[in-house]
Amino acid sequence: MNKSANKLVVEGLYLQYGDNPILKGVSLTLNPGEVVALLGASGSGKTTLLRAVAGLEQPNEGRIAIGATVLYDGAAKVELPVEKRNLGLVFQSYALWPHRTVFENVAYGLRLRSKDAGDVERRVHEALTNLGLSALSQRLPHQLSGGQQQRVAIARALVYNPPVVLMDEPLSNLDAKLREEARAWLAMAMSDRILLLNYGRIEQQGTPEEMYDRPQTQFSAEFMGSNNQLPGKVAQVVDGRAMLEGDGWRLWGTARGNLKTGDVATGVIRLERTRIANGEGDNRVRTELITDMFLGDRRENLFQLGALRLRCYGKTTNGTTCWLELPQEHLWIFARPQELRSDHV
Amino acid sequence: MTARSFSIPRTAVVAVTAVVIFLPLGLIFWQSFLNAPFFNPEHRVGLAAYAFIFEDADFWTAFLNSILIAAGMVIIALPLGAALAFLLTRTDLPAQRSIEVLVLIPVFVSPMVLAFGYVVSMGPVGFYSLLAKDLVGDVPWNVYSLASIAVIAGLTHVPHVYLYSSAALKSLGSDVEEAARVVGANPLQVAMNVSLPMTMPALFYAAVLVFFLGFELFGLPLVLGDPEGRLVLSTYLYKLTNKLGTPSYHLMAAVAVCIVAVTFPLVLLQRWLLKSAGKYVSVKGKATRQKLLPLGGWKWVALSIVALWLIFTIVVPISGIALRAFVEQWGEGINLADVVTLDNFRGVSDQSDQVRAIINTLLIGTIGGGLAVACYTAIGLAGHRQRGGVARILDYIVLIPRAIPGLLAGLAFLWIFLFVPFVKELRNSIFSVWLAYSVVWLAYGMRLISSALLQIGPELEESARTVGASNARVLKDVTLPLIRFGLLASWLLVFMIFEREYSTGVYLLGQGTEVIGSMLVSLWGAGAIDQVAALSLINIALVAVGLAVALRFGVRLHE
Ligand SMILES: Nc1ncnc2c1ncn2[C@@H]1O[C@H](COP(=O)(O)OP(=O)(O)O)[C@@H](O)[C@H]1O
Ligand SMILES: [Mg+2]
Repeated sequence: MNKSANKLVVEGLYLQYGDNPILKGVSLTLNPGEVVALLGASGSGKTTLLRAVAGLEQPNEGRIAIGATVLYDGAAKVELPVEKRNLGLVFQSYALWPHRTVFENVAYGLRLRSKDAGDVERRVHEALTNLGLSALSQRLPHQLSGGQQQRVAIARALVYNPPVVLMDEPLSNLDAKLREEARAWLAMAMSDRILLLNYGRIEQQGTPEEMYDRPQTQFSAEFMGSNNQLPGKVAQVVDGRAMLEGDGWRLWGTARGNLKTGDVATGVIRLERTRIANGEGDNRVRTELITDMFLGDRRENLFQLGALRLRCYGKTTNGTTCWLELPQEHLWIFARPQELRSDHV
Repeated sequence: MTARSFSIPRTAVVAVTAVVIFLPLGLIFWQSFLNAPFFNPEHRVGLAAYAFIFEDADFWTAFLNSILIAAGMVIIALPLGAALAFLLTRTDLPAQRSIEVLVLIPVFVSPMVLAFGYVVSMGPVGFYSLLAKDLVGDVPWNVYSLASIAVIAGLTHVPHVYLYSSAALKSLGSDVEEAARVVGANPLQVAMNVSLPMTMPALFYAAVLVFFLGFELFGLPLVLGDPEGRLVLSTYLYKLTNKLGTPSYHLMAAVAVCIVAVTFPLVLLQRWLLKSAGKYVSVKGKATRQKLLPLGGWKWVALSIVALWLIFTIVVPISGIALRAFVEQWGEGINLADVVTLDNFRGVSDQSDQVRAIINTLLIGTIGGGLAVACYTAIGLAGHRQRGGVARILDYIVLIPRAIPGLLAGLAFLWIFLFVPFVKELRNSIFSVWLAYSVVWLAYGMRLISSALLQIGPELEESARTVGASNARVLKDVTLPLIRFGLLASWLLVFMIFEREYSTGVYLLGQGTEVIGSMLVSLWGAGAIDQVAALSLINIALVAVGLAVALRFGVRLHE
């Protein structure tokens, strides 16, 4: 929907509230026509980043530009007022104006751009129709359901064709019970690219496939899917591979980051890469089946390995003792547990 | 639900409430259509009373004055109150919490006391007038003019506007304003297209409220309008007795009906406005961060305006009273040091009726306030979680006393206590004043109670029902314990309101029913300035104690 061939470029954005740094040097690029999802735990700074781009928060350093237009430049002391940035922003709260009808909410941005009345009417109707709201145009926001309010907010942000549309938590209204994990799945399905934000820093960015198949950090690995975790100690490192050792088990995996023998490390493997094997073998562990759950199309099993719990899909054969295979190329071994990683690396 | 909506205690509460409201009101109506006082055996039904007052030029002058003063008050109080609300909710003005407390003080000072304060400090020979005369050679103001009355009344009603507009501004999340910025509106357009229209219902409500309060003003015009013979409707009614020499109850009733004919529609309008204002608030963003506007150097300008207003509405009148209470007399060429005395207070303590007035005022505030809160709670609980007719009827009948100015309510209760068998005996007890006070402040008290009740989520009571508690048990074990703090807070607020009240007691004043408020009106009429000053100061002290306790316990000064 973006006609302009202008990129949104954010460079080294730094922002703090009082002494509390919220964004610690965020850089990102949004290409024309691209759908980019910004993921991150609650409190990681997603809203703050969007608001800083929109001009609603004042960064301390960095640069924001769309094509040749500089929105913000800390060094050059450029700061374009919010209303001059010509962006679309859908608030998490929707922020509809309660005293204006649906039509007037959507039309406001066009009227400010002094389009002629017929043009405004036509474009608002077009936007409302596209979002399935045309029957509601004369209602007041409090007469709409949450989902309808959200669509009005989206129409309001799209109607004047901004080069970039920012949406804060667009999936939060799908279902209040939808877990954050499930939202990550949705974001993967919908986006061309994913940016993963971790406490004010971009942890990793890439296509959904890259993010899912080649996470660079344990944080990325754990954020993007359902995993088994195996905390242990590195027993051996051989060109890119490492052997992780735990209470009664040893497994080879792919080393991620710098590992040395004796390091505390964690093995992470996607649930769907963990296999039930029919007997002893390479990279297999002997486990006891604790319970299984019927999920409709498949069965999820919970196994015990010493003090660890492992999950995997598939049908168990006979008895409660099972061999699980954790293929070496899919078992990523990350140095140091997440919570010990310093914020100042 | 249907099974719960009918019960004997609930019906009794509703019935008693209806009787104490409709009986006096009905009496006024009936009396207004008689050509003589209703106890006069020769009375006949007719429109003679209305004919008389409509032919009286004074009535029309008073009517016009009432409207002018009320409109003037709106013009003065509305912009100031709204500006104050903006400064205290949306900017980084320093000391906001302390200023908010100070701003609310005028609400709790008796208008009679305030009016007297302006006379002694800014009247022709007031303390500050003489000071001004020394400085500029002349007194540059006249507090007795119609414009002065409107200005003083307007400035003392700023808190009412402040309360409603600040509530609206607080509930206006900054996200709706930011959304307008994002779609391209500059700050001025945001203010004109979003912030102002969204606070409009609250401002309009405040305007109607102030006009309404202006229309039923009594103490200020009584004290300040008297010297130049300016009447408003309530003082016209009050002076009718003197006019004819005989008790002209039918005329008073006709004037009363005229006043209610104006105030009742205003009360309904307020109710409607409040409801439609609530509609806007209900679509509130969840993750709103209120951003405060930095005032920069302007904060000194803002602070000086606030300080000037506080000086004029609180410091000037109250310091005047405090001074006047400790001097024998005051006028031109008098040296303060020569006239300092405690005689005014001795004078009060020598008069048994004034001592009784002080004791009664204390009793009516503490015990009476507690009883009133108990009654309000009973009424509130009768309508609590009820959707049927009973609740709706209650909803409306508690509004009615709001439309009846205290002076009229006192008059109506006087008639009841004079002539209704069985209650006649209570005429000379403070009970009569208490009943009138409680009815006059019913709507206010009900708002306090219902905001306390609103704090309880319905599921807390429902879960008690599901585990097997009867309605009565739920009330005793869940509802009442949960609103306990709210009830105590209401008691304190009602205490202050009852200490401050004056007009309701005016017609009920007699041996045994003296309260400071009505005593002030009567002493003022008799020209006993010394005692008015002393009693006023005592009254201020009583309210101040209530205020201090309320602040100590963190009671919100508004519902
Ligand atoms: N007004 C504020 N003052 C100080 N800290 C804030 C403020 N608003 C948000 N924060 C902090 O900034 C961090 C990022 O918040 P936010 O951007 O809302 O996170 P997200 O949208 O990713 O959940 C959080 O730790 C939050 O506590
Ligand atoms: Mg957020």
